[in-house]
Amino acid sequence: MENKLLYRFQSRIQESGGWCEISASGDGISDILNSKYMFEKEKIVISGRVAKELQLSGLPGMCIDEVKPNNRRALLGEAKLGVTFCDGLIAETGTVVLINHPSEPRELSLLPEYHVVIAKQTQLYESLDKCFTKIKQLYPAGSIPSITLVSGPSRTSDIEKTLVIGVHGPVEFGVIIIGSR
Amino acid sequence: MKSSQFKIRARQAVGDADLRSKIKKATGISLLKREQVVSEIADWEDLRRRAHELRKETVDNIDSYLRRFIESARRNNAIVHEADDHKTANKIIYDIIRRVSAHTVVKSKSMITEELHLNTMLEENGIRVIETDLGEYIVQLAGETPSHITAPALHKSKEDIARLFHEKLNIPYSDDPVKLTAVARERLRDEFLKARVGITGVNFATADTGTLTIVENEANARLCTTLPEVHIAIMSIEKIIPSFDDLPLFLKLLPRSASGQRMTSYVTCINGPRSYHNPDGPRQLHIVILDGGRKQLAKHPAWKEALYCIRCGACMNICPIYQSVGGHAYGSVYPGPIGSVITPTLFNMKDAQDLPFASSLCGACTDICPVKIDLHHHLLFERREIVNRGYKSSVEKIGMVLWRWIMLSPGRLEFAGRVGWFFRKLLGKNMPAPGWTPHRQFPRIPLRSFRSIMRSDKKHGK
Repeated sequence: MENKLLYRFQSRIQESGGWCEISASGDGISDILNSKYMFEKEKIVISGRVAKELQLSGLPGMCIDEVKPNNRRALLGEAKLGVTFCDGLIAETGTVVLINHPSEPRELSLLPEYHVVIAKQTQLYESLDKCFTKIKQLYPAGSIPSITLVSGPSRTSDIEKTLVIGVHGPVEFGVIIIGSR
Repeated sequence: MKSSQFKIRARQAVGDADLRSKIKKATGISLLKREQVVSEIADWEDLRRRAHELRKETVDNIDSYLRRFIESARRNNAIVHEADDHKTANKIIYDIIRRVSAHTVVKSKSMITEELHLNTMLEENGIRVIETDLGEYIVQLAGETPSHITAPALHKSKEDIARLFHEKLNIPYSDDPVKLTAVARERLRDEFLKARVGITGVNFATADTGTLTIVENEANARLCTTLPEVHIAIMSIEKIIPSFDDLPLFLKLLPRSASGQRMTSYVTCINGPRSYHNPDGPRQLHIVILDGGRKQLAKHPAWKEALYCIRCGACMNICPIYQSVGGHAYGSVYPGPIGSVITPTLFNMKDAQDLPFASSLCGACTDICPVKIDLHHHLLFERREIVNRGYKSSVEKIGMVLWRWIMLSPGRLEFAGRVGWFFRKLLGKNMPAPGWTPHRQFPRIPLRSFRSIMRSDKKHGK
């Protein structure tokens, strides 16, 4: 069952112009990032949740928690790659659910040119209904933080319905799932 | 621009082969993409029915849902403003901007702000408004209005846009959509970083959690709701849906119907300004809720359905009239079939009296509507209302009385057919029929009617 969801999620993301790779363990993530992006360490910013909740350290890049809140926007405006964790993967539509978090500000997945999400296979949901039900259980009414759903890179078809990738948000969007096929 | 000049503008649009081919191409692509992602949902009809029921439930009890939404939004620390009419809404918005002494606002695409003519009002008061959705940016640079609710620059070719950017932005001429988009990204990113106020519309507002949901592809709405200190979200009362639990249903229907996507690139669900629960984003969240005649419309037993609309634009894409005349001909903020239902009922029936007639009543709009609004029947009922109010000419009325008199008797119908045949024979191709023959030939009328053939066949035992 989980494999079926994983496969569907992967093909949905690819259909909407993103990429999705599976890594058997957390150790392979640095390799995937290094093989795709050749940026200096200062140009890569990583969510604090990646270290705290995924227990992943040693990724190339700097952790957002080490940057003072007032300096974050300037840093992210110059950054090439933002790496975040997430709160759910929706197989039906190839969607990543991001809940606002102190160690994972919204700007981290918005301002840099590239956005990569690291997720666990166990975070897969079949549909958005099931994920939202879970979110409502986790947060009592009146305390749900803001939520962003991302299903691909920033895009437009405003000029003659021609698809152009990369308008105001990230020009590339990728997901690395820790799990097995 | 007024909807009272529909016929004049429609005639111009139909004569503009270039415009027609642009609209045909764009609507065709949209329909094809929609078909692909809708056909994979086995229970699409069920989803439409459920959505219709939820929209009905909300509109029927709009006062109570509105109260609940406002309570929930205030619990989330949003500042909620209610505006009975357009003028009040504009004043509230202007005052918020003035209080923070901002001179520039960044804005994402929103039909309600078009309805308010917000940009004109703000600019008259010395506030620069920057449209950041690419299509809206193009339309704003050209000094025009959107011609489609989800694809505002649908009426423009890439060459039109290339010339526009070349003239207004002083860049070398290029009609490559990738290059044109890159120019807009670069110009607008600076504005986002500087702006202190961001204005957006709202797609759905949930009554139980006070969540504002905004659906988009470009990330300009994300920037408008993340970077500025103050976010002003503007919505009309019918944007409310009962519960956060209903959001997935509407998020399944809207992107598929609007842009043929399973999900748009981004969906932002805002649950309040920066706070303990929301560590980043604007410090102030203002929600301006416009009534603008909707509470009154919600009481009408039939036309309240106009308020069920979730603004996907699918009825425009499928409409043979829209495909031929485009959005500007309607002269209303809301074009196409849903626009022809909303404009006369919500704004001014006398001015918009031509719009319900801008339909072949084929019903394609009703079939495609994700919330099952009975669009073509509403158009028909509005026609009756327009006649009852006496907006139609007396010549037309006499004609209809005569028509009815003829149709009520088989003998009279047959006689009328003979008279028609006689005149067609006498005048040939020059047989006049106002509104019809200037563009088409009057069809030949056979000497023997269907009725008389039947009669003689019966006599000869066939």
